[in-house]
Amino acid sequence: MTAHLPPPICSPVRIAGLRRGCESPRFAALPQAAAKALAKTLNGPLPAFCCAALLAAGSALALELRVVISRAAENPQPVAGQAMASRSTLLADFNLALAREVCRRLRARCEYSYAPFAEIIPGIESKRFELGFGNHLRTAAREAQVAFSNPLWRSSSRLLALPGAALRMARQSAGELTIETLREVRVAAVRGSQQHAYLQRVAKTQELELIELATVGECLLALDNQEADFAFVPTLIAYLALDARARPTPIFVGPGLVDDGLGGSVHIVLARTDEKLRQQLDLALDEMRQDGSYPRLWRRYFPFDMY
Amino acid sequence: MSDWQTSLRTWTQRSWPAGKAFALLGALFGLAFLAQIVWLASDQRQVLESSARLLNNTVPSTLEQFRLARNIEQLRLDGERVFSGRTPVARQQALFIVSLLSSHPAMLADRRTATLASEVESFLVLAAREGMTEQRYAEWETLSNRLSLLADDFSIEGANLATDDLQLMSATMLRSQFKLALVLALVAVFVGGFLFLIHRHLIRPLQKMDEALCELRSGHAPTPFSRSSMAEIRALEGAIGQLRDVMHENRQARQELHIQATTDSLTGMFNRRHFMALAEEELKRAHRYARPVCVGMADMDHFKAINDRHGHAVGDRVLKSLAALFGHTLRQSDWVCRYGGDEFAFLFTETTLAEAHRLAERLCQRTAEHWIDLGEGSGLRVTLSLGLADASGDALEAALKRADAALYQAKEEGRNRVVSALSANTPKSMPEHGDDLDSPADERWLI
Repeated sequence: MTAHLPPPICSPVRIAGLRRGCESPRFAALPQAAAKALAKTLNGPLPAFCCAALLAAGSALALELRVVISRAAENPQPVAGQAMASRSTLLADFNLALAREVCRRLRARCEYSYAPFAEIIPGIESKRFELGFGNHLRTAAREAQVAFSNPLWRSSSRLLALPGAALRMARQSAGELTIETLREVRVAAVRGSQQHAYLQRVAKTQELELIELATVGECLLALDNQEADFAFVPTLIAYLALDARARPTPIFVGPGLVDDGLGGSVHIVLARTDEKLRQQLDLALDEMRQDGSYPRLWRRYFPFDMY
Repeated sequence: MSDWQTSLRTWTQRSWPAGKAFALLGALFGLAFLAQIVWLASDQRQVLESSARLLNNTVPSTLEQFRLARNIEQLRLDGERVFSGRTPVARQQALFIVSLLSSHPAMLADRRTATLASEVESFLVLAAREGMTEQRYAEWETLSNRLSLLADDFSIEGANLATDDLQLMSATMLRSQFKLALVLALVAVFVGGFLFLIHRHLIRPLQKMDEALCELRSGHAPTPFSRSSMAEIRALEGAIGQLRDVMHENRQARQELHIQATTDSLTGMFNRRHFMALAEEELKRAHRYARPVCVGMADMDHFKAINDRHGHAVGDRVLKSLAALFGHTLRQSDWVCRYGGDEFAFLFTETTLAEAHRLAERLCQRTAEHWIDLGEGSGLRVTLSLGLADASGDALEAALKRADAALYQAKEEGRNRVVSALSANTPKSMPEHGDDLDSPADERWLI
């Protein structure tokens, strides 16, 4: 299930929108006579023909991409440029802004949509999407499925728990509480994530009950509802999903983890067969880093550095 | 002399084909130059590798270090906010960021940072749960200082990473500069040496050859060549030497021919043909500048009788002796030739007839006084009859004819005397042939 986003400013739909004449706010600033003359010109048959020809040529030449972004919560309606509704959508908003900037640099006509994390790689594989902004860690298993762009930022994994559960488990555990020392507890993880894959591997050995959920937000909700004792999630996403006002507030437990595919660099995913697109994408990302637009974009959403 | 010295001398005296010698030199230089270029290229490769390492590894690592330092500093600041946050939500929010930053993969990658970050997070979580006290804040200040120091360490390490690479590159560039100077010095030495060798073994020998050819043209004795090292030059010098010898022989032959063509083989005096040619030129000059000039004809008295009595060998000796006497007696400017048999012709330049007469008288007198030694205690004296004529107004043949007539007159008047002919306007009749004159003068001139 995907949610479509409003088209970006540079899309042909917006350009065609200019032909709506004097109602366009762009004409409001013009003197009335000039605005009328311009509107008359724009509404004539010749410009319409020219625009159609230009659009047809543009359509034939422009790169068309379907971009999918990992959904942060069940009902987000994030739009770049608007005030952010909550911190939980920040990463999705960042991904949307990044996707738009990448599309602009690729001179591509992009169609944006949200999808659950688990649907992104299958969607890329089945050619339903060309670019996936799902904060994917680069693993050998995923490399067999999709191609990866240059790194965006770096992630680690961490356990989350309510303070009470954490204390209880800490008392039971002889040493420091880590994912390896957990026994006979319910652990929530996002379906299709590396944390989920890790838990699947160790669940039987460590007698863990694995609770598969769609988003980190759902994992936190499961903690809140006492449906899970721990949530094993990406640290940044967990931070974004945490609400400091919530009582009791979940806390991070144990050290951050980067081994066993639980941490590392995060990438955009795309089809393995689309080598040319990957090269163009890497070039665009390199340019963004070099001209400083990537760090500025990151800082618009996050007060710290994760790349 | 030791063997190696002998070998060295043989080697240095050996002739080398110029093409091969210079090709060998060029090849040696090329090899040396190539070796130095390779030597230089190793530095360039090192610089390229260093710059690539700087670009691909060091600069990213340095940036990584700086970023880590900034994250550590942010961890410290958010830790501070955990204590100083105005509201519980703000403090909790700061704690979230502390947890997030302490889980940062870059922090986890470094053991010192991971340990300290974990310690900071644990401390702050405990402090948030159990309450903030003065003692905890004092402990926090210690941790905060450690975080600051660690951030400084990473900043310095990051700067040092780039500094190390840059210093290496700088040292390599300096070494490369030194090597480049060596290469340039080698090129300069080679070019200088090459020019020196070209001058010594090509240009100088060619100059010597040119000098030798000039000497050949001028007739001076050519300077012998020094032995050249270049085979081609040596061959040319040999050819020029041969040419020089041939030209020397030719010149000697030409001189001999010239002597034979201009002198009388018995007496060494000018022969008649040469005398006539010279006298013609001298007369032309005297006529042009209106200078006095006289000619004379002389004949030995009773020469036939000497021949008949003593034989032709004595006659020849007498002629030779007379020729020597003429040479001693006459002036440098006077010309004499053996006109034929025992007859002699004279040309007195810049001399009036009277002066010539006095000169001729003296010659006759000395001839008469001259004792001709015939060996074995025997000898004889001869006398000379001489006719003079002024040639300043006549052609040579006409003047000689008048001198010849005067000679006949001297014979007729008793021999051993000098008779001057009258001027060309008062010709004297030709006398009868004497005992010494067997044919007319005109015919005798054809000898």
